Amino acid sequence: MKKRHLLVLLVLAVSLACAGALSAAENYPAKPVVLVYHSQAGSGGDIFLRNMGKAIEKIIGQPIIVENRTGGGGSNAWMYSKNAKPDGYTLLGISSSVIAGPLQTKMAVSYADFKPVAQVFFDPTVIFVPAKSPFKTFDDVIKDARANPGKQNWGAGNPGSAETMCIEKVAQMADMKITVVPFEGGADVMVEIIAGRIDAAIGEYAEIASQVEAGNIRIIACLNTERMEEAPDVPTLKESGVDFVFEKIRGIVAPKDVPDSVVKVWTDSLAKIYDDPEFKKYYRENMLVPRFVPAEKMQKVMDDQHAFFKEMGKGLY
Amino acid sequence: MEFLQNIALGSSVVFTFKGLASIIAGVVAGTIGGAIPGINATMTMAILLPFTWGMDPTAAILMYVGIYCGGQYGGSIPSVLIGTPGTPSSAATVMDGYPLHLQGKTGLALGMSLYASVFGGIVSSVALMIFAIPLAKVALAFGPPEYFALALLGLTLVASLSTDVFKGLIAAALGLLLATIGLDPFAGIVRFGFGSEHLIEGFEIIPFYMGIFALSQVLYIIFKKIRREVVEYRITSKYPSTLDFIRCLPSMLMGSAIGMFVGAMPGAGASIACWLGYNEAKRWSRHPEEFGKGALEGVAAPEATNNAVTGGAMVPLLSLGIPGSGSTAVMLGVLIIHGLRPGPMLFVTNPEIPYSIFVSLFVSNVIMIFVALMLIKLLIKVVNIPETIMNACILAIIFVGAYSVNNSMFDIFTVLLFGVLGLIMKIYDYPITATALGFVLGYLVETNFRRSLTLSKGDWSVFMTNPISMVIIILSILSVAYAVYCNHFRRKRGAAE
Repeated sequence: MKKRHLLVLLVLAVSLACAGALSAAENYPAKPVVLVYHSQAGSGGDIFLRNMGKAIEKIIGQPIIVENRTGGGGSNAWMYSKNAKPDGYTLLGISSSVIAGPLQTKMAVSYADFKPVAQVFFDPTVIFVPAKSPFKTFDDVIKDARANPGKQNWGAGNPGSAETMCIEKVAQMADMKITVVPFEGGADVMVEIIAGRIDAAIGEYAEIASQVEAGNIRIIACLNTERMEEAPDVPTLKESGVDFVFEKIRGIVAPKDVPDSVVKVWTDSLAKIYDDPEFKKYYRENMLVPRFVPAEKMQKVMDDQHAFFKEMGKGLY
Repeated sequence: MEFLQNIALGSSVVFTFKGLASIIAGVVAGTIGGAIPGINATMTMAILLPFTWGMDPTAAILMYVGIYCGGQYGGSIPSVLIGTPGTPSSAATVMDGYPLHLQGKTGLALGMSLYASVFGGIVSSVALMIFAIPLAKVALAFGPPEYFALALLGLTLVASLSTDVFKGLIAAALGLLLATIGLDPFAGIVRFGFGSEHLIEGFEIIPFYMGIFALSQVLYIIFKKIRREVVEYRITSKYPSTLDFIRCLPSMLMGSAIGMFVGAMPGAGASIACWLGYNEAKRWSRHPEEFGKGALEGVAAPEATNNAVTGGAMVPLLSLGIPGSGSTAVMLGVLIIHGLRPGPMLFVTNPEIPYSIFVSLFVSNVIMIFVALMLIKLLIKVVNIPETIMNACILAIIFVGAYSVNNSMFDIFTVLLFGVLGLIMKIYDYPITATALGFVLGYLVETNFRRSLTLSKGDWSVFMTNPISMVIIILSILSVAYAVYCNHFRRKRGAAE
C-alpha cells in the first residue's frame, strides 16, 4: 500500500517536472506564431510572408501573424527577433538583405545571430538588355565591353545591393571594364533599359517579366543554377561561359536558442507548403522558384552568400 | 478605349465600401481641419500620416484626396463667420463672405462657397485627366538629366515665390541638406549619421512632416498667443437659389481656370491663386463696386479657385512625381511610405493608383456637398473651440501618432526637433514649404545629378545638350533671376519711401 503510494507520487513528480520542459515542444505551437519582417506591410516580401503564412496555418493549426518592424535599414526587425524569447513563437522572415545589410552598415546584429529553419524559395536574377540592343548573347556583351572599355553603362541598385555586387562580380569574372550606374530600385532600372539609356542590367526576373512579354526587354542570361521553367530559352550564366551563380534567398530563421524540436516542426511544415493550391497560384504568378533547403543545409547557403557579399563589398565597408 | 478601361479600373477601386469610406473620412477630416483657423489642409494631412500606415496604399491616397478637397472648402467657413480665414487659401473669401454674414446673409455666403468649391473641384478633376495622362505618356523621354532639371525647377519656383527670395532659397537649401543625411545612394556610406543607427536611412518622412508642418504651427499659435473671441452663430438666411448660382457661373468658371493653371505651376499654390481668382472676378464684373461689400461673386470666385487648385496641383505630382506645394508633398510622402513612387511609371505599374485618384477627386467633390450640409452646424461649433483645448488635443494626436509608426522614441525627438525648427522659421519668416520640398526632392536632385554625370562619364554639358533639360534649367534660372530682380526693386522702392 505504502509502496504503491510512493510510486504514484514519484511518477507524478517526475511527470510534473518533465511537463514544464516537454510541453513547450510537444504542444508546439499552442498559440499564434509571429513572423517578424523588416519591410513595411504591403511590400513584396511582406505579401509573400502573409501568403505563405496562410498556407502554414493549415498545416500547423495556429494563426501566423506577420509583424512589420521597419526602419534602421532592417536592424529594427533583426535586433527585435534576435532578442525575442526563444520559445518558437517569434520567428524571422528573411531575404538576402539580412546577410548583406549588416555588412554595409554597422549593426549590432548579423545573420550569424540566428538559427536557420529553412530556405523555401529563391528570386530568379537575370541579365537583361533593351529589346533594340545589338546584344543577343552574353558573349556579345563581353566582346563589346572588351572592345570599348568603360563605355558600357550597367544599371544597378544601391551600392550594397545584391544586384550591384553581382554586376561587379560578373564584370570581374568576364574581364570587362564597365560603368556601374546606381539606381533607386529595379523599377527605375527597367525604365532606363526600355528607354535605351543604359546598355544592360541585372535585376529580379519578376520585376521585368511583364516588359519581356511586351517585347520591350530581352533577357540574355540568368544567374540561377538551372534554366527557369517560365523562360526555358534563356541560358544560365554558367552555360554562357561565366561560372557564377546567385540565388536570392527567401526563408525563415529563429532566435539562436530556439529548441531543435521547434525548428523541426517548422522545417517539416515548410516542406509541405508548395502544394497548397492558393499559395501555388501566388508564387507562380510572382515568379518565385521553390528551393527547399532544410535547416542543416541552410547555414552553408547563408555562409556562402555572406562570403560573396563580403568579398564584393571590400571597397565599400 | 484604353482610357475608358482605366477609368473603369479606377472606379472599381473607388466605388467599394473601403474606397468610399476612405474618401468620406478624408472629406470630413479635411473640412474640419480647414475650418479650424490655424490648421490648413497640409497640416491636417501631416497629423493623419501615421493613420495611413496600416491602410493599403489606395485607401490611404483616396483619403488624402478627400482631405485636400475638404480642406480647401472648410477654410471658407471661418472666413464667412468670423472674418478670419481658416486656411490661407480662403483669405480672399473674407473680403465678401464676412460682409454678407454681417448683413445677415450667412446661409447665402456659406452655401455659395460650398457650391463654388464643388464646381471648381469637379472642373479641375476633369482637367487633371486631360493634362496628366498625355504628360505621363511622354515621360519615357525623361531620363536622369531631365528629372534633375525638373526637381530643380520645382525647388527654385517654390523658393522664389516667398516674400524674400533669399530666405526662400536658404529654406530650400536647408531641406536639401537634411535630405543628405543617411546612406549615400552612390557610395553606400552613411553621411551625417553620427554613429546612430536611427540615422542610417536619414530622417523619416512622417515625423519630419508632423514636426515641420503640424507641431510648428501649434507652437506658433502658443508662442504668438493668438486668441479668437467666441461668438454664437445661427444660420438665419436661406441658401443660394439656382438664379444666384447662374449669376455666379462666369466668376466660378474664371476662378476654376485660374485655379487649375496656378495649381499646376510648382510653388504657387492655393493661397496665391485665391487672390488671383478674386481679382479677376472683380475686374471682369459688371458691378465691381459691389466687391468688398458683400458681392456673391466675391465668394464664388476665390472658392472655385482654391478647389480648382487641387486638380492642377496633382498634374505634376502624378505625371512626373514632382510635388509643387506642401499638400502635394505630403501626398507624395503617403505614396512613398507605401513603396510607390509617383511618376509616369505609376501609370504602367499601378494604373489603379492614378486612375482611382482621378475618379476620387470627382467623387470627393460630390460627397463634399452632403458632408458639408450635414456638418455645417457642427463646424460652427468647431470654429469656436478655444485654442488651449484644441492645441492640447492636437499635440496629443501628433505625439501618439508619431510614436505609433515605429514604436520608437527617436521619432518623437524627430518631431520635436523639426517642430522647433519650423517655429523658428515661422518667426523669422522663412517658408516651411520650401524646406519640406527640399527634403522630399533632395534625393531626386542628388541621385539624378550624379547619375547624369556617371552616364556622361563626368561631362557636365549633358544638362545643356539635352533639349528638355536645357529648357527646364533655363526656366529655373529665369525664375530665380526674376525673383531677385523683383526683390531688389521692392527694396529700392521701400528705401525711397
